[in-house]
Amino acid sequence: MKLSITCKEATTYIVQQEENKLSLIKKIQLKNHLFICSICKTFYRQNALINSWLKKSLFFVDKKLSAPEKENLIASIEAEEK
Amino acid sequence: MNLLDQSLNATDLVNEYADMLYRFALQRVKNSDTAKDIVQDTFLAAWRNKDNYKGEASVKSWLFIILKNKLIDHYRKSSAKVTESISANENNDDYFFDKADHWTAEASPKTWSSTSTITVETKEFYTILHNCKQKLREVQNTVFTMKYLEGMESEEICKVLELSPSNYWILVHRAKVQLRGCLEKNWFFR
Repeated sequence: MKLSITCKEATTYIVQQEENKLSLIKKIQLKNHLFICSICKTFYRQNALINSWLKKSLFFVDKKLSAPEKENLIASIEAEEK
Repeated sequence: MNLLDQSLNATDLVNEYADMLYRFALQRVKNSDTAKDIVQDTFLAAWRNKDNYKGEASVKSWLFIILKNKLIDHYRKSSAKVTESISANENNDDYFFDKADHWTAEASPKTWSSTSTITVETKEFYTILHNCKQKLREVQNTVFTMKYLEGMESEEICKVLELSPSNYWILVHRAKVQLRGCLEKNWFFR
């Protein structure tokens, strides 16, 4: 078993770990990598933050359809009726 | 006569629900034109099937069920380009990772100074987050939306989009690395 993994592998494992998809070996490799690599450790922390923000982001969109767009929608529905 | 045409005509239906459906769709597709098309398809499908509406669910949840099905159809269509997208995007990793697959100097994650709720949970921040997400390639955005916004399991996403698990993880990983970089550039180090 190789102990060292690359940053690309480590960041992939971080994302896979969210779904508990890591084998024991990969878990050990990731832990070992995070112990020695401060950049991936930063990614690891920020990744968790991003996930929580993404969930909350659904409540922060304030876009609306314009009045003409709504009129077009209504027209297309009414055309369907005929 | 059923509940839908008793209580609502097309104008009422659009005025009452169109913005809600549009916002929901907009968060889940690549651009506003696609979101508008999906909302229109949803209303048309609802109207065509209004005789089947039994009033068991509210009009709102009935419309959302139709909208979700339309979104799944859309995801399926966009996944047809997946294989092509994965190979075409191969070079993109060069910006983030060097030949030895370690972070390049310019793309290395930096420490973010203020991630507290007060500084981050503003409308402005979420607009940037949304824009960064919209910058992802369509198929990445689709996978990302299904995983992080809809909370779907990877097996389910792979099934709907006909993706192999290895391609799925390549897409999710790349999307996450890109989104993180975009947030850093446009919010934390702007």
